Amino acid sequence: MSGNMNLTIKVWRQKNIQSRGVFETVKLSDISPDMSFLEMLDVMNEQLMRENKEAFAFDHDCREGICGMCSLVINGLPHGPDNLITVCQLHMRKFKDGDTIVVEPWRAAAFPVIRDCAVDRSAFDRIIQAGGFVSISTGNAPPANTVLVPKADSERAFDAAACIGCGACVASCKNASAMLFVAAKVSHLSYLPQGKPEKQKRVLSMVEQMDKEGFGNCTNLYECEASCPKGISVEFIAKMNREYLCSSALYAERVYSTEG
Amino acid sequence: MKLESNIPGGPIAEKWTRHKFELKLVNPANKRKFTVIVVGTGLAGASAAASLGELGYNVKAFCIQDSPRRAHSIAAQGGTNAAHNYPNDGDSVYRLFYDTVKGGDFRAREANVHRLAECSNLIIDHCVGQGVPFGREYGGLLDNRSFGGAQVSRTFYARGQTGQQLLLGAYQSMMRQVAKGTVKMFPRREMLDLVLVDGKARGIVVRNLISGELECHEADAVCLATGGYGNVFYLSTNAKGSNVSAIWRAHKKGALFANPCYTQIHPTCIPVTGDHQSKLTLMSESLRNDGRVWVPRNADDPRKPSDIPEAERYYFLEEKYPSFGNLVPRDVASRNAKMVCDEGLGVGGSKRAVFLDFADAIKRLGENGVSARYGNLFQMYEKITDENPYKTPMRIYPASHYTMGGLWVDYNLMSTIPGCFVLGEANFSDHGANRLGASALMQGLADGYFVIPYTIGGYFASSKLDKVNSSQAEFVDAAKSSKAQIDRLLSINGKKTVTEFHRELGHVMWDNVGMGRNKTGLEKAISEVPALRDEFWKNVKVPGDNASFNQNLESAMRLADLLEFGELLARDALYREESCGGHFREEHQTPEGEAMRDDEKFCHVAAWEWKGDNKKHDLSKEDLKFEYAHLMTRSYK
Amino acid sequence: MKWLLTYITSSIGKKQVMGAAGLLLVLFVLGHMVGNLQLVLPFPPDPLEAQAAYNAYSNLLTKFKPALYYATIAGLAVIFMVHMYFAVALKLQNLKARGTARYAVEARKGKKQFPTFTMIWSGLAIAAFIIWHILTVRNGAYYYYINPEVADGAVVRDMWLTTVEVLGNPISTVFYMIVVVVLGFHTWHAISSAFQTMGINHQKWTPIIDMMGIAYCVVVAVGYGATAAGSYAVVNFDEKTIAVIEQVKNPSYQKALEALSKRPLEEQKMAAKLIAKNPERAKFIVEREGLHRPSFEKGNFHDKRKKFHKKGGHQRPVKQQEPARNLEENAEQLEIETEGGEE
Repeated sequence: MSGNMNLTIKVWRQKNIQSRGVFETVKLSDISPDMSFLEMLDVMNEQLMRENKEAFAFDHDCREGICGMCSLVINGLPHGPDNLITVCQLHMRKFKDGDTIVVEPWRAAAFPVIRDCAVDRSAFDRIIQAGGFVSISTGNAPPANTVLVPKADSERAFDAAACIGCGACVASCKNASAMLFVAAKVSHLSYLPQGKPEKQKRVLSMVEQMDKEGFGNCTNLYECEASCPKGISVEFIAKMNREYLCSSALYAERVYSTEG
Repeated sequence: MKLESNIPGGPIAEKWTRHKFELKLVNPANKRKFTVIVVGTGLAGASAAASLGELGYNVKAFCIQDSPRRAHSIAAQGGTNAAHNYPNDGDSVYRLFYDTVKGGDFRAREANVHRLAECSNLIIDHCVGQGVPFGREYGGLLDNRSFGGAQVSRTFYARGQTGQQLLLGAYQSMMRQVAKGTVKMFPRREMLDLVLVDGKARGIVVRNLISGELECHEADAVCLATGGYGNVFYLSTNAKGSNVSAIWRAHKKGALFANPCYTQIHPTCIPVTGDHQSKLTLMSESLRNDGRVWVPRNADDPRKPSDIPEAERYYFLEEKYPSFGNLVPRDVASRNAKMVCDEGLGVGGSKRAVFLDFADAIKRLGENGVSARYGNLFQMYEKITDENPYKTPMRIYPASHYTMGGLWVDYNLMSTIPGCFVLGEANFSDHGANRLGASALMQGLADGYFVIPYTIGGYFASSKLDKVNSSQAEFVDAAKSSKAQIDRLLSINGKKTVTEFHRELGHVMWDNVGMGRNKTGLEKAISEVPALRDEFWKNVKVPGDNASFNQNLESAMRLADLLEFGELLARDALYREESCGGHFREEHQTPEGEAMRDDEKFCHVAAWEWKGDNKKHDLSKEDLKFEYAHLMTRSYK
Repeated sequence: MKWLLTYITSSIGKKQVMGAAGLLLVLFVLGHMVGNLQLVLPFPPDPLEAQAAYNAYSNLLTKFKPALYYATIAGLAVIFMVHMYFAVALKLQNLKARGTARYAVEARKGKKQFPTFTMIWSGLAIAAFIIWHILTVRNGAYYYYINPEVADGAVVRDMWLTTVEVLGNPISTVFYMIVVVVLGFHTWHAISSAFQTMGINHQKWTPIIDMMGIAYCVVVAVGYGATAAGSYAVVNFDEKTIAVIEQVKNPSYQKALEALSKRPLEEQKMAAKLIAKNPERAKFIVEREGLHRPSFEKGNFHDKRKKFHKKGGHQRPVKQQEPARNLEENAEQLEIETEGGEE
């Protein structure tokens, strides 16, 4: 397909965490509608480098919508105007000749900018470390089919487990809340019998870590669900809310025995 | 060099059990005195880090991405094999072992493959225990589906995201260990060199990708789990960050590289749309379960595919291979797709594509039934091509996907460098010349969960390991030479970008060392790659500096290694004068166009030793014996 | 008790407490609206009947068990404070979480409408309204009222009069109606949001809950709006209402009732019966009976009385501890006296 689009790209440039950022405008010509958005940015970077400028830094890896690395806000929408995709799956046919496209990073206090539009999402890893797992060591497991999981639970758990940890939910939320991310992991493990032994402790510690990281609070705007490339449902947020309430009230961790 | 595979004696079904007993153990209280470095946190790396941490070792895990969960294992779609025989259709550990050896075209080590089959069931058990949401039947039990290269339904899957779910299971287990303090995680670090002290691998030098700082880390053993080298073709289904660097640097320090020419081309990928193409997207092989592959019998048929009647459709796989049909192994499917396109029957704008049609499946299962199995894959296809696969057949074409070759390892997964272990796709051992579908995930997890925890203990308990410190001369020297390379790259200031060089390398490799190889093409590659490499070191443009987040510098360093490695790949392909699995020499084929092995001359592993810059590699051979899966011609008819 | 503190200071805990307080307020708002409909229903209201009904209702709420009443007021105040405190605390935390740089382009993909992202503003508007509302109505002009059917004839507060007077002012009416619409939007998001926050989200029930939430908002907005508009209408255009207001507002009548309110209950009840028999003579009955006393602005009635009498008291001898007069005995006398004459 021949390229026939001329575009104006405004990208956020920021040297490092300490610096202030600023927009840079680049004019591109001859962009093919079959190109993916990141391929268009590659073309832009080649152009910048030929002009002896530094390339624009942005995270990406798999370029097929599953690793969760790509994290760009396109014209105010995390992952761009299309639904149920990541920005690496966005194609230029969603834009028109002459368009101006504004490219920004995920903006949240808990996601400091590393460079240009690459941000630090280690907060998510720390939340998983707080409890997003099943405490099982290699070798412990019972034979697979002795763990029966009703199909509906298994499907629901998968719906929640489909989260790729990209952070679009945080980026799109006006309060930079990470509720959808945390709820997805809490729900995934809570729907499964394997996750049930620890479900009370898990929700309490993961929410505590989420709050420590400085994410905001949910006001039920549901922008997160609309931006999520995997379509994770806010029903999981409700599930986490009720689990948190019940666990806060009922989780009894004190052990009476004085033996070691 | 003499290659000692250290395969234990005894009947094949007992080798691994016996070996686990014969391996020396490390006392539980002593494990915390040992430090293990794991480079790469995909399925093999994360599972190894988690398991070793659970056992009590100190683990330092490194990855180039911002989080361990980003590893490219996450993109695997179709499923993972195991020999549970839940469908009651005749599967067993032995059959899985046999199918894998045969599928590998008799170029894998039998003992390793049998161990893999033995571990397969444990993998499923463990992953279910971790909470991986495998597909289930209504009764609550696990579901299975069939996959290419197998006549039994032995693949366990999690919709179209099996890789992601298995990786998340391993990642979560690893995060549990990070919280406990047994594993320390270092994201955004790239390994630049392996450090040897007294001939043993005792640490690595990494570059902090944010600050540019070079860090030295010491350990008692190093495990490399950095994946495959498909990016040597530039266009592949690999992630943009996938590279050969970690294992290449280890190779230059003495780890032999085995069978690099065994590269797997995956038959069902979305075709290229233009020069700007940055990578190719895989459509899961599981689609071949229900899709039918065909091209129009008439070249350049202008009609819409749905208008072409059955009689005028050439279902080439079904016609040529009646018993396996569309489920022939990948190499067979890819070669046939290339053949029909070479004959001019290709479809699509580029004429380099064939149809994968779901019309019959939709008739049989309904759109809902098809969507339940492949929903996300169909959606992905539509987003990329703007075509609706429910209404018109998918266009697919083979693309580089997996690499069976890698660093040579013995039965304990240790390379020729003592203390340097290699896991997952980065090593060469289990798949032979061709990997069957749904077995990569299996291998990575087998290596990480169930093999390395034992064999590394055996190494520690039987080796003398003096204390080392990362400020020792060996580390400092390694860091210095890495820095020197970085400085050199930044100082060249040429005219061509890294991407332009990489694309050129990709063209040379794909055209000459791709699906069909011949002497002329390979010799061309062997002369063009070094020339390109020389040009690279004279003319590459790497803007910016080292002391910052500089993605171009990262790509340049990785490309520098690929430019050396590509030459070895071509040399290995030239050396191996036979066709087997993913390595197809046009001079060695049957009259019907099938691969023709030369078991007399080439039933061995070709392991290459680095001798220095611009020096020829030394070849070492490991003979392969097939006592259980007897050598035969693979036929999928 | 650390767990309680952890809960209250967590993001989810704060929202749940705020949401629970909000749900209680939502119930209060509904109840308050239903009660106030007595001002205008059935429409057009007969002013005397509406006055009687509303004042009976108001008196029941406030005087049935004063301790309960004060506890309820205190409880409502606490709930409001809790709701507002957490709302503001959460909002401030949310602003901080966004970070220092704002998006250059603001865009949205979701389905929620503007009430969702203006909750803090609608909430603050409602809070400001509540303060004004309490000052002008509950703590507003105090009128007296007497009716044998209401509180057995004791003198009570004429809440009806205060309220319709406020609502009769066109500026107030418009203001009420605007605030009531704001309240409707606030509760529209609030109800579905509160259920979600408490963790109640079900494929089958959530659509029903959301619909009931919308129904609630409409009912409440319409109910309050109708009360305001209806009151405005009758106060400004209904002759009967205007006449009643004028009569009841008469300053000397009010003064007399005020004095009567300090008399023993029996006297009040008797006066009430008398007035009921002879409503046009109400004013005069009250005055005539000599129940009109100098107003005691400050201090305890009995102390002042003692002081007064110590100083010499009335010029004419005053009986101490006057027993309740048998007004009925004098009634006929009164009637005879005033019969046929103007007074």
